Amino acid sequence: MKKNNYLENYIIDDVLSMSEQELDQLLEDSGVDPDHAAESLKKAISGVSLRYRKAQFSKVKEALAASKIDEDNSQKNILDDVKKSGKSAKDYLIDLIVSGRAPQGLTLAFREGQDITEAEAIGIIDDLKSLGYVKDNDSETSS
Amino acid sequence: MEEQDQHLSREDFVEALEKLSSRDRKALLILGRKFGNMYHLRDDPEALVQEAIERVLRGSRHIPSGLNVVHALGSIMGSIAEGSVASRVGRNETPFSKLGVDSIDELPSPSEGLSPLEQLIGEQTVERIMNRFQDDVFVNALIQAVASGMSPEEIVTKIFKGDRKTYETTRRRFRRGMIKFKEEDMEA
Repeated sequence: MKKNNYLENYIIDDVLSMSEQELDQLLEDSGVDPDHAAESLKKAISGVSLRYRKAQFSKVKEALAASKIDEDNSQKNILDDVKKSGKSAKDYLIDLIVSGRAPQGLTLAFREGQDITEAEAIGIIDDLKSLGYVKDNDSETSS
Repeated sequence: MEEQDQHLSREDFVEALEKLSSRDRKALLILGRKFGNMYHLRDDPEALVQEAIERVLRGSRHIPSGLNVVHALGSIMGSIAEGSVASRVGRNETPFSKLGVDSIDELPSPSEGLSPLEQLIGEQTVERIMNRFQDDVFVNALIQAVASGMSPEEIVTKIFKGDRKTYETTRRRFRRGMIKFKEEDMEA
């Protein structure tokens, strides 16, 4: 470490060891109103903090918007596939089960007579796509 | 331990900034003033504090986990202030003569991984401060001891022969002197 860096560390330790009253006195010695200066720095720090938090919020908003677009695109692709097959989403899902390309649990649930809506069927197809059971524009299921 | 765990995250840093007390802010301003005086900065102390904060947020400086934020920002301020001297010399805004040499050829040989310029700035800074206190032999001895890397306890024992009271009064004179320390502008 250089000589000046030892001095810097000594100065830092010295300042940190001082009481607020001693700090006030030093600021006054340098021609500064201590409370006014501390308040001015507080405002500056608040500004920095606010800018940081706004930037973080914007990032989160952008990420959420991007995930919403992905979700919308995914749902749109499923609807296109279902439309191309000329079947309802429920029937499209049943085809997947019959062709053995759906998980065992889902097959059992259907056998037990659980009824689902069209929207739920689209959601399940979306999940199956995410899990890799169904590919986009799956031609086999639409035949 | 992961490298990122060794440093304060930006989120934690901002949180720590928001929690700074009035005393902490005054301490930062005094450090800004002292380092500004030490390295002849034109900027006011608040600008130096803000620059240190911005550098941490930009990720160009890191604060080790567990270190007092005021202490860490103080170190960063010292480093920025010192770096500004090298930048001014590099931009020919400060002539070499202000560093006690006539040309780049006279820079000292590099040591301990330091560039010749860094080494010269370090030595010149201490020399100028000692000159500022040339009429006070106790403060001069204190500066020399600190600059040689002695700890406060060693200084009390070896330099002040165990006389803590004299050490404390000397320390206070150095403290007050550094806040008023202002030489001719090196940037002129």
